[in-house]
Amino acid sequence: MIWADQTIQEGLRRGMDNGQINLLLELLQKLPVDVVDCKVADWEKHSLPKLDMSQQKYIRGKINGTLAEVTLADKLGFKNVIITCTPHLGQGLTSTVCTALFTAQRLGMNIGFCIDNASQFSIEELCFLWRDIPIDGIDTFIYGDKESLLDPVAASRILTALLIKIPACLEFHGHNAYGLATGNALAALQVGVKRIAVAVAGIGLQGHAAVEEVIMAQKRLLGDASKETRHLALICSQILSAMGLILPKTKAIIGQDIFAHESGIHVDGVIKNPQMYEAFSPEEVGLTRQLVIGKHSGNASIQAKFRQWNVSMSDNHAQILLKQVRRMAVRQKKQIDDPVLWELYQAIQAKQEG
Amino acid sequence: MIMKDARTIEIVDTTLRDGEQSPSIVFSAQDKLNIAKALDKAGVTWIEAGVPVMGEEEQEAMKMILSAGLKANVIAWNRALKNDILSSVSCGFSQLHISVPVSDLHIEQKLKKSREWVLENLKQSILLAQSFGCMVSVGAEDASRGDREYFLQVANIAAELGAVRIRYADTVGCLNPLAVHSIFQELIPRCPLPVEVHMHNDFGLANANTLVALAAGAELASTTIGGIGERAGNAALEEVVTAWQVVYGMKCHVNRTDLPHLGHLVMQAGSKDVFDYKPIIGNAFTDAHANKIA
Repeated sequence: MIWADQTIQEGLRRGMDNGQINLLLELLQKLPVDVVDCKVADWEKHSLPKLDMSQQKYIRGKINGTLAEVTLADKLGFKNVIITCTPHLGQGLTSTVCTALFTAQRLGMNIGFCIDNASQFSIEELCFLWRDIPIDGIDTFIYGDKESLLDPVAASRILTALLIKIPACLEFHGHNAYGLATGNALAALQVGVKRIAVAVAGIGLQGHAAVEEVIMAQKRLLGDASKETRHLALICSQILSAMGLILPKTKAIIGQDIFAHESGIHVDGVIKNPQMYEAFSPEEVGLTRQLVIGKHSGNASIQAKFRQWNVSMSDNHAQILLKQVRRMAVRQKKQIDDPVLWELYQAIQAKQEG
Repeated sequence: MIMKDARTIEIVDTTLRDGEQSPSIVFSAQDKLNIAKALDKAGVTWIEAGVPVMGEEEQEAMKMILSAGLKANVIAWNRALKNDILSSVSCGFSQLHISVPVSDLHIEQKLKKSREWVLENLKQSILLAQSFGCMVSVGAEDASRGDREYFLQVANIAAELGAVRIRYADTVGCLNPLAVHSIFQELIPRCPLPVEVHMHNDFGLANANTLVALAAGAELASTTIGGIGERAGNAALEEVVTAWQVVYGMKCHVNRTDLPHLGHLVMQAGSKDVFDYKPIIGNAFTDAHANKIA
């Protein structure tokens, strides 16, 4: 399985400089991604240096199907390239794209061929475009869903057919304009596609499948536990923070608060058995479970919270405290912090004793 | 993707109930009223407004929404408990959603009861609600980890008693879209009631799972604005509506031009920022400039 990263490209697009990109590349290597895709033109635009030997192995240069960009990629040291094109319906490949392909081959580059708008074509039309490629030895055929037109069922049907019909490695590059990217990527994986485009938190122009979601879905929903995930939340948040992005606290898989339980039913369930309201345990991605007290708390959650502080609370006290908590939470429009909760409890005790 | 007959689905928005259960979000009564009005204006037909049994503060907000003269049907969420139902009724609700767990995990470990007990309890709860003249919809909590035949048993009892629909809840978000496709293809023809799907986003699949279920015949989608909700949240209203219309070429009478305003309203009320890369409402998708840089 090969995950093709699109995070760095978004960093380039956002104008990050050489130092920042290098830091990102370093952080990214801690994630189970295998290749990093960058637009050659953006690499040049931000004056990034020629690739070194190690970078040549895992950085792929995206070329916009022109001879000029192939030459540029060569100058910048790219050995692995993706030649992308956006064909018009009913037409074959343009001579510009064909020239780019010939040149890349002559320069000894390892070539992936990407149809950016593949989802606009039928399977037959895609096979026709594939036969139109003027050179042999294309390593990878990349199916692009630039307009986010696919849903997971269509993706699985189309990619299943292409796996049989196209004699090259099939790669899926989906987008997230309608929130379906992770679902589509997972469907691709399920039907046997071995290369898939992903980005941390799904970032990128028109979005991508989120790497952390696909990896955890592969692990927990499809039962492939080969990837190390214990630092997933930390690494992803470091990458986003290096890009100046704020990770939402409730972002699936990696958000700080996704294991914060507040509602009475949920806290009660999680105390009895965390599986009741957790799809996987927080430790698996390096997060922690929190019991939060607020408007949605119930008696059981208040009692559970105080048990964590070695206080066994009576039903009566819990009920009194719960009323105060709910009123305060609504008034302040937020949950109750631990020290405040403790104060409320002490006030109740003092009153009872007095 | 465009199919012959453009099927219409309906939204049951639960921003005010499951959405507010998002860690660190508390809406004021006025916030809730404003959001309910905006949902109504956007054409959402079902609004799950809250849980009256939670107490006075919630009841105050519920009464404000119920007396706002909305076109939308306003629903109260209930467990299959007498107190829950009585609180909702005394608040003035005439449409109740009654939720029961249907997985053995939840029935045995949370309720410490049996499947039979749950059925009987549901029956009594529906009858109680109906004795006050209420319309009832039934929720099947943790259906995705439960026995499908038991889900159908619950649906059958609900149908016999006159409930209007059944909610299939993927409570911990553990379904994947292709699994949803095969489950719903089998389930929908056998289910006596219209099915509403309630998908969680623990693996980032809530929206995809919702849409695949709708395409397979579910008739209603439970959503929240911005996808807020327990843990990693729920299927986002704006994504479900937009994808259903654009990707599937189908119908849903929610006005898409209202979606950015709804997103803004909820994020402001919940003191949250929208992630730049959140589809539909995130800056990366709304800022025309961002697209030009490409």
